[in-house]
Amino acid sequence: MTSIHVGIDIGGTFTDFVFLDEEGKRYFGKTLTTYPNPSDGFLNGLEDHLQKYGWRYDDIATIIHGTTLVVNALIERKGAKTALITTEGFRDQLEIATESRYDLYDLFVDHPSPLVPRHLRYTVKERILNDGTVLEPLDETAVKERFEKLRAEGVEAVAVCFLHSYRNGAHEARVREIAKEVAPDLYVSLSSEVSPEIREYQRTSTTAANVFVQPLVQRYLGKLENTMKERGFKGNFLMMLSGGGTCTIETAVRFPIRILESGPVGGTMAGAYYSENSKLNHLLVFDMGGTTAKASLVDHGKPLTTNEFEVGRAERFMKGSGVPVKVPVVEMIEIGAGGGSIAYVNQLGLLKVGPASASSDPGPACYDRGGRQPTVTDADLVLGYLNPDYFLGGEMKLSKTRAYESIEAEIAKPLGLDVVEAAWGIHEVVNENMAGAARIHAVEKGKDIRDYPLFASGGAGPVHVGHVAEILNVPTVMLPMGAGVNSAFGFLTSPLAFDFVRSFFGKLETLDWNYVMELLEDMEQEGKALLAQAGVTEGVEILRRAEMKYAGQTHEITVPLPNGALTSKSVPEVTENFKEAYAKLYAEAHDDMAIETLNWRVIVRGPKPALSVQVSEQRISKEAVPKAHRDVYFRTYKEYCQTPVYERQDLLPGAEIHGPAIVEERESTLVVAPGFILHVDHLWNLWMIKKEDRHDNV
Amino acid sequence: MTTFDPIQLEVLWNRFGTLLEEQATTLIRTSFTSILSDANDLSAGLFNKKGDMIAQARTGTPGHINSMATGVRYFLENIPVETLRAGDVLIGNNPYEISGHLLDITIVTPVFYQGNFIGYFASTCHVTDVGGRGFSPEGESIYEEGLHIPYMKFYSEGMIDQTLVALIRANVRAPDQVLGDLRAQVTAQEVAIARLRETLEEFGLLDIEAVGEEIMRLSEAAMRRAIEGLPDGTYENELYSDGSEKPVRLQCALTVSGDEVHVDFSGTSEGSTKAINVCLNYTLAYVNYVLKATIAPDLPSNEGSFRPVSVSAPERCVLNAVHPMPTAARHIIGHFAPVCVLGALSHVLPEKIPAEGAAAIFALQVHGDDAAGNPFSYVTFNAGGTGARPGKDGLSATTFPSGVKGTPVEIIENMSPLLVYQKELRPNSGGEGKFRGGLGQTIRFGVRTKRPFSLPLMFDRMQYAPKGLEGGGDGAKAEVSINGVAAEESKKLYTLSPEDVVTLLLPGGGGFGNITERKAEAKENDVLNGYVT
Repeated sequence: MTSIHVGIDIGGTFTDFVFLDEEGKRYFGKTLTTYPNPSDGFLNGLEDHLQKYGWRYDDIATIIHGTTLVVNALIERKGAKTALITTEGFRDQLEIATESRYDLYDLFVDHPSPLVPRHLRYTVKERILNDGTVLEPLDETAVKERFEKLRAEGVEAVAVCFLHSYRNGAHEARVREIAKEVAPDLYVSLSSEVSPEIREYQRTSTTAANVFVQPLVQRYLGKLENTMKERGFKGNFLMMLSGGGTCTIETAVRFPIRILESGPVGGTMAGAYYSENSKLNHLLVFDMGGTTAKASLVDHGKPLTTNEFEVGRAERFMKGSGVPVKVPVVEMIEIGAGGGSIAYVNQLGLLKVGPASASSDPGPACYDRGGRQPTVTDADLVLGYLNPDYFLGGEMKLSKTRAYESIEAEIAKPLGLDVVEAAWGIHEVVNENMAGAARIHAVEKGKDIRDYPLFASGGAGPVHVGHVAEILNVPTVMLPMGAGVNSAFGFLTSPLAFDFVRSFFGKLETLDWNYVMELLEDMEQEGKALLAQAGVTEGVEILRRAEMKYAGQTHEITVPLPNGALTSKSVPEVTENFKEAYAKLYAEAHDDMAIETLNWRVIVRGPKPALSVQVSEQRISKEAVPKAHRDVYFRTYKEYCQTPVYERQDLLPGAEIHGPAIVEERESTLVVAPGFILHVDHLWNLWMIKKEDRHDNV
Repeated sequence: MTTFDPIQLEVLWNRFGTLLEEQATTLIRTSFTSILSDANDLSAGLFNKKGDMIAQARTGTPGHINSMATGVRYFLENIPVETLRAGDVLIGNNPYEISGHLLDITIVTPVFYQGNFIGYFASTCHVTDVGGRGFSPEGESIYEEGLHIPYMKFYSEGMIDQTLVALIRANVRAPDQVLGDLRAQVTAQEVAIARLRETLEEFGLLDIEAVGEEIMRLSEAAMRRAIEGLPDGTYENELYSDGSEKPVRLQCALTVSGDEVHVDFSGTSEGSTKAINVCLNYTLAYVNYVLKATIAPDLPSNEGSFRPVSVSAPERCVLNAVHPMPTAARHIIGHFAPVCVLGALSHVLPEKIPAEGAAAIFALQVHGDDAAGNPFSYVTFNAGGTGARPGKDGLSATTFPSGVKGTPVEIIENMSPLLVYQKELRPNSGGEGKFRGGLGQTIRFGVRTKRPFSLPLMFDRMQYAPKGLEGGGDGAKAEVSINGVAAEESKKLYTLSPEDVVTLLLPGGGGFGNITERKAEAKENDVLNGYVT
């Protein structure tokens, strides 16, 4: 009997599988995602792969799963009929929101529609103050009557969010007890459990989103688990969390909002794994797909995380245009730049690319399905980066003629350029857009982007990554083996972990440390219990953090706290930690100003899975033989040149190639520009390094 | 002269945008003013040698971004270019020439590249305090409103002016925060300068003159084309604000002639004795804002796109304040001016112009002592409804034209002794129409204190409702009551007892089109959700 670890990632188009056997060998698989029941594709794909490799269900030690189910349900508003119960006088926090417009220059801008419409938002008499004391007791009779009515109205799910419940959740807890008596079949989420964080709009929104998807997630995960058990699966079934850890199915069902971004997070976790293995302190995970590009920063093997996320941002991915959700997520920026991004000439006579996308229907002009507008993929094809006969391994033929015609008509002629210049322009402009977004993201995090080697994945990522690296002045690019199923592999590298938060506002100098310790210990115990449920009691790591700021500022920063007992004697150490964190972000801390605390966080984490990745084959060869040559355009030469084309599978560890070159594999194509050298390491990962030929003459 | 192909130009322009965004981001992250991070009450821009703005960060609120653009030239008039050295940083907060009140401090850093002076980076930032009466409508001249920093060098060849630092320190209430904010501006500009140098190097450029000219030329041409789409003629509108001691009339005549627009505010009320006066540059900034938002929302803002637009207003009127008129609360009337211009534009662009909304932000300021006897001063911003739009209802509880954000009740109650009893949408406040105006809010609060507290009201719309358009009904007026008794004046210092409860009803937006044309489904939805009862 072996023990196999399985990562399964359900994305919009494909369901990806990664199997890792006892010896550390990896097996990759991909099937089409099935609609309307993605669980079919999961179960059938798993069955097929087990048969293919000769394993049985009881050979599986762990399955870690990530899915876009939750985020899709929220974006499409396809969840339970959800009501809200809140404090009298505050019915509309979901609609009042931040009282601002996300786009100042669009007079026709709209707010995202609230998850709970006003007629399903109810208030009850109760009031708790910011110090947790009760100003007005809960009107229990009103709560009881309300639940009876909700049930009669066919409401399936109820979010409960009272003011200051992050400080005292007693009234919310009492509402649930009453609900259990009156309407035991309703799903109820309490804000003091889902997101016990100050700021009522965001907390309410998060709680509503949680309960909105809860019935759906419970049915979905229940079906998967039961079916696999029937088939003989006896291992651990875990879910990937948006924050980069994994959790049990019970936890995922209780807090489904925590698995919101579980798919994309895997890609960053894979980057984190490789950076640690490759002794890289920093890494920028760069993923460019069909409609968007995503980027995330990894420091010392850990992705940056945030507690702010927005679901379903409007077309231009603008901040404030989505529904806010306060849960730990791996920090990721997303911009409208992908293979399908449409190029056009704007009113100033300049070339612009995206964020509008030709998506898959009609798709880029070269798909020859009626698309007339030129896209990034069309430009990449004209430039010779893509092989018209080897797109998706040859499954789809691309029409170079259509690509050429569309660029000529829409870009080259209006701008007075030849078609190749125009195609290069499209390629360059989209790269500039991505590089600019990554650069600003790094600044927001107080990082210098030049310290971050790029880690490329996604269908279009490897075509563009070299030039993006050049713009960012980053000399190193890594392309992992199995980039096409990168996320599913990332799941396997992630430890069991859970993040907790409690808000407690105070000045550091005069803080009630006994209360702080109560909060911290409470969270730590809860975390340990969750891990114990999943069978992990050894090697548990506890990380404490607090969000703090100088009095008068509105932006908190995250500050690490020491473990053990904290008292007023800890103030100097905590102050030092704050200043250090502040200096890292902003360059200079101020000496004599009061510090305030807002949120207290605990991460309880199991040991990292001990992965030892091997390759099934240990051949080594410096030789690399191209499978073909074709004309490819490079800016360095300002013309096409005959360029060797390699098949990735043929490049063995030890191989070295000098650009210009093209490396093809089924899902993507790597462009190695002149001036870059490509190496293959012992795990078959590719490294693309810029030669030191920059003349920095001032 | 260097010429640029459209792709090179796009790439360079994009780089300028990115480096300015880096500047603005650095500034927001390092500043101390909550107004700055919540309301983006700042601006960042790149200027050529002549002081023409080539590009600006997208981040920022209209009153700032556009007023700094046209205000920087005053630095150049006062500090001769020949006296500039590498390491110099300029400073000033002239309220009549830049963004309208002393609280906005502008920092301008000359840029040198390969030994030559090539242009400037500038930023304007609303600092925490400048002394005087603070952010209040009560001042009766600039001398009451705080520290006026003349155009001068803040740093000379890298050395900070210690005299100025000492003066600031001695004159403002929160010197560490204010100096911290100024330092943040200087640092953010250094970041941008470093990035600009890298960009010039990469593209083999010696300066930003040619590329700047090209950017401005294209923008100007595009703006002129957009204006040409409007029929020639003069379009008028008038609008009333409660004013301070008496109502204020805003009158505008917008003249389109060929590819230029001029807005004349003749007929506007004379200046107020209180601090609600607006300088012409701030007026211009908001005129530029609404023109861009209505006819060219995707055009970048720079000197070129501003050239075809001009404003005039009689000197000393409420929209053209001159020394020593008080201006601290200039935003109230300042936010009405663009709404007045929109009304004029509705004659030519009926399909693009919304009905009137609340217009002014409702800055709720309270000061006094908390329950423990410690003094406090607290301000939050609150929004009424916006006007209905052709084809769409207005937005409820949303700031317009300002971009300020509100403050969560839980934050208010943690940071101040205020106790909020109610903050909800105000049913029936949206003007009726084919498209309904956005709803205002009902806000009810008291203060947890044992002593009387002060409420300097800076409200408006208590006398003049937001008007509907094309047959739409007016939005509900603002109302203020104390213990259920209506307050009469929207701008007045009230002193209240500890047990007093204040109720604010914020105005709704005006409706658009006739109510009889409203879809049955929309009407049902309004009733179902209690927007209309």
